Amino acid sequence: MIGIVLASHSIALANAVKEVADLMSRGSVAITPVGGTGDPESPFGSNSIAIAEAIQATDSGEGVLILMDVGSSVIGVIQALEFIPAALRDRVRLCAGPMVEGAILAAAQAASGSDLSAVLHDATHALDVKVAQLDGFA
Amino acid sequence: MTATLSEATVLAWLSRSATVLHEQRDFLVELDSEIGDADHGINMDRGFQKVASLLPGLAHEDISAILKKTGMALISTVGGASGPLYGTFFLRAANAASGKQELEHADVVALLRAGIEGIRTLGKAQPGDKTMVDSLQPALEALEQAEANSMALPGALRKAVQAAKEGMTATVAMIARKGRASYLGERSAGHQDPGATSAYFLLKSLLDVFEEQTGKET
Repeated sequence: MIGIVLASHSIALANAVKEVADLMSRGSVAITPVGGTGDPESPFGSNSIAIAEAIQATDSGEGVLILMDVGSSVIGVIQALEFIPAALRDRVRLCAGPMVEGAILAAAQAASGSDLSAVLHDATHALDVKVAQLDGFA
Repeated sequence: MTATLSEATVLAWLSRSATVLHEQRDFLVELDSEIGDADHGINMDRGFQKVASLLPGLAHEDISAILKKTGMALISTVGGASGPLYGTFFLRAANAASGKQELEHADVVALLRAGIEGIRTLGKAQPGDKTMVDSLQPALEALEQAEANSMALPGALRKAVQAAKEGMTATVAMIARKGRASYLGERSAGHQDPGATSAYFLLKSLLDVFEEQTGKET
């Protein structure tokens, strides 16, 4: 089964997204939240070494999808790829989809056994459902 | 005589950078509060205090190892986008300095070029985007120009720092196209970019320690 890493500026945000996504997979998918600086004075930020460790901890051999919020989380995730083995890097995908919607969708898909490329595709387009729902109301 | 940059200069540079970034912490926070999330000074100070704490243990390492450990320390402690970006700068610079016991002019140019290219690749920033690239890129070009004119290192570095300062000042008029400031659009104009400012402080610190060690001869 593929795993999911949630990389956020805020560890509280990443943890909360995991809680919601876990509802979809009933906890059957490995979802690892990572984020924050660990500094109480300025807690928001990313640490690409911690992200790399999260990727390694999440992989079961079938690959890892990474969802992220904005700014330094994106740069941190890209940099984290430098700190993992090449063989693992080949089965890691960075998802440009929205973190909350993407994580919920990816957790459901991963739990049903979808492979990495299918989950990546659906999570990338995770906003489409909401866009369609809001059509005519926005 | 052509001066070179030694391992001692590199250690002194990093130590001075930590001191300067600590002194400038509130100024960088103020700049960042105008167009960002007001944490740049805190982040840079935290990162370079970590680097400073490692320096005593690095006295017997070579230049490449010192730069690499600096990069890893910044990546794991700075937090904001500047952590990965400056981290990449030092990791790429470490590769460029591999095997060197001292750095001649061409080595300094190669090191800065590798570092700045690393930042541009990771951040996808171009000159004019109102980022640290706007002070780093002019500095690199000034160093290359000085090398082409056979100008020796201290004088060449002075030119580079002057170019960085002008680049930093030029960010005031720019509209941000990268980072948190880009969300402000045209309202980001009129403020100096915090990243371009911290990059200037790093280069200025290098020049200052180098001039102190070489006695300002050119």
